[in-house]
Amino acid sequence: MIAAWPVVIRDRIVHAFKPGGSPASEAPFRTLRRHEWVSQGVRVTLFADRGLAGQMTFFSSLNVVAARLARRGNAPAAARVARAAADLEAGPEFAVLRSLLSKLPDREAEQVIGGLFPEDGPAALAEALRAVASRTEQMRANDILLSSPAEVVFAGRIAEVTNGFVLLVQVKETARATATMVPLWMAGAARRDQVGDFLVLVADKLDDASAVVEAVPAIDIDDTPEAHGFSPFGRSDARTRSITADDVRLLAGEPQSLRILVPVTIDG
Amino acid sequence: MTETGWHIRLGSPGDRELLASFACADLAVRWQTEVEQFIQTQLTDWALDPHADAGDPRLLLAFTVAGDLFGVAAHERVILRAGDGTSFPATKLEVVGCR
Repeated sequence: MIAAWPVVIRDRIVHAFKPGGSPASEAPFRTLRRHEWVSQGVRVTLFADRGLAGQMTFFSSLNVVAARLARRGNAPAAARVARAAADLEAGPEFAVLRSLLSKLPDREAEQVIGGLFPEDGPAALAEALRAVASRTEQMRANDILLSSPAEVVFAGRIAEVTNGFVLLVQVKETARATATMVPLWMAGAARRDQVGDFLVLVADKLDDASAVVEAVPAIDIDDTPEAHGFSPFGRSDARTRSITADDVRLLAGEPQSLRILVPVTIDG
Repeated sequence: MTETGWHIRLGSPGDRELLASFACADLAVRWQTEVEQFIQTQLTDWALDPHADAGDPRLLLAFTVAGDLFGVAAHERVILRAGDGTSFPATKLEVVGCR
């Protein structure tokens, strides 16, 4: 299964809240914090050649969803998703990731949060990222707010790089995969511009005719759908609308009107 | 004639609290528990998501004559797809709960 990179820096959250503004702005983030539409994040100490190089705070990617909900005016939902993000950040998967990030040299932790895995990075770090991504996807599958039709996700693998575009082929359960062209600069910004790279496109609806499309680095969490925790509820998982050939035969024909039998007592 | 039967109406944002306390599961049966939790915590968001208008989601609540909620159902229009590419419009029952 392909999942969006499960951790983000503050700028991604601000961008989701104010798509047209500067992602480095302080005011939008303060607004999100004041209303508890974003979690506190996880602080990690960075190291450089000559010792300590400061601290960095990273966040669960669920905060991006919370920021979008806040932008759309759904304050209670934003607060609820932010609380879910906080729960994730307080969990064991984040604790392991934080510990491993703190051991990376040369500010590599910042690159990892941005979606770039170091070439000779430890296997334990990759595993920790998968664990956080897997947990995040479980929460997505189990919460209706995280599968709103306002967000359309296209997860795929880059099959070709040509003429300023990459060809992104959808990774899905059925044999009929679809593909889309993505500008090379978008894929590059997500640090996914090579054949074989995993990339997610998120179409964030603004109104009926427009959306912000964001290229997000992705990770293969190498998980079976069953182990991932399929939920029949929700709209984003195509499996909830997938039927078998037997189902087709069973359902074929003209639909009948729905009848509801209501018990009525008639006194004699 | 005695007054008997059901009263059925569409759900609304004001029903969130009512649904939060709606119990319909045998807690020993996992799938029933999942249905109950979905109804209590997420069904209102599902039904009232403004971006789901195309599917015309409906939340129906059934009450006894005394006014007690005893049944919950929700459905929406979807396009069902089979692996061979066959697709057709359908009405998909999202959830049904009855105490």
